[in-house]
Amino acid sequence: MIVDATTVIGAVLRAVNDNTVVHPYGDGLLIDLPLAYGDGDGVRVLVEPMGSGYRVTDRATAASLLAIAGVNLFAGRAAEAFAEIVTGGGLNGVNAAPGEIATFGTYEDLGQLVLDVAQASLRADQLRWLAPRQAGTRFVDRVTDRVSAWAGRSRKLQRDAPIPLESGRSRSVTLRVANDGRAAYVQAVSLRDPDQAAEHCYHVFGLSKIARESRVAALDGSAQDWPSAIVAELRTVSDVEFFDDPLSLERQLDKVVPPPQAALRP
Amino acid sequence: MGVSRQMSRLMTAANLGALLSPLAQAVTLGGITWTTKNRVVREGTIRVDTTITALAPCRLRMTVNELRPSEPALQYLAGDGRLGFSARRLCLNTPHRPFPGTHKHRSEPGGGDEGAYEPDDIPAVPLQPRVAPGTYRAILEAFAAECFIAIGDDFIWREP
Repeated sequence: MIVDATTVIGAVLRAVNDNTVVHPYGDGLLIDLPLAYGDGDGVRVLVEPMGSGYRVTDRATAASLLAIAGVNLFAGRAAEAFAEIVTGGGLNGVNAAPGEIATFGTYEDLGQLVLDVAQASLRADQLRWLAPRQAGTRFVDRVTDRVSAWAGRSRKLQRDAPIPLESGRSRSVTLRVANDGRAAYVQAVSLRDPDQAAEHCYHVFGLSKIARESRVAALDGSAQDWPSAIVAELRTVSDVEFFDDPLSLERQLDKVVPPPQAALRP
Repeated sequence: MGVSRQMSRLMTAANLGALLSPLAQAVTLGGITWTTKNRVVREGTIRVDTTITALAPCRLRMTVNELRPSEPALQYLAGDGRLGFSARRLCLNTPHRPFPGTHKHRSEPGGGDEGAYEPDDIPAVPLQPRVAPGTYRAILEAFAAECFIAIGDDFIWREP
């Protein structure tokens, strides 16, 4: 069999032609390409008219896939690699949201722009291999689950809640639970890096202007897992509860944010 | 969309069959809690209680990318850490050859890729830059029903 350039190029173009689908989407078109991410889902880019040309974007699809895989795209090696993928791909990132792979160009370059964005998005998706191998449920999620079950319908829960500091600025803590104008702030203190977690908790609670009894440090494990000096330090700026105690966290929260009176009636 | 690494030894045909059946008596616990991941993705999780203690903790996870609002993903996750796996995954309006849009990933015991198939029990959502109010909740409830998960009395829905 003789293979010539025309035959091969024709075959490639035919495969692309037969497997590319477009859908109207707002002012633009979504293009489903005959390429797939690591999990088999198809690569789809959006082309929108913009000024004198076109904007092409992956709409942060790779960033979504990485979030699901447990990769933080805004820290460490993943962040460096993501920046390199975007700049190395010659993408100008016009009006790009965080995590979005986008570029802008003229009609003459439109085909190449689509391929460039698709290629960068596929490369970014491969950062999924940086995900921790044993990504268990994080302690903050376990604290959120437990407080969420306690809060039920009667108390309002806010994750990553801002806590006002004496200086006028604010930092975020794991949870804020509130009802009837009363609020408690809960900081999850993990055993994964206990010194760092405790110092962070001490710093934020120590600088906050919220009443001390409304600050709750939820420490992973039991008292035996923590150096008594660290626990004593934390007690100077907040209430301290241990996660292994099945009731103490709920009791403390009940004190600070009591259930509505109607809920107490038989 | 989602994680494709599926190597948990808990993911046996017996465990999956029991989990995805009335035997599991699965019911949601508490409301949906949303967090932001990678600055553009809203991730909602709901705890799920089942009778199969070996697979605890179970949870439903919904992922909404604000730049692709009509293409959310849902997962029924079982187990934790190294043993955790995704028992079912629904990708709305997302192509996965040979399916042009909405499809489900079925976990396959023994590991390897999750097989995909086209569901017929999920409400149709137009592929567009916005979604109608109530859409996400309707999808979640349809997905939960297909996974034999009852919505608990204490369930609270919150929009992403």
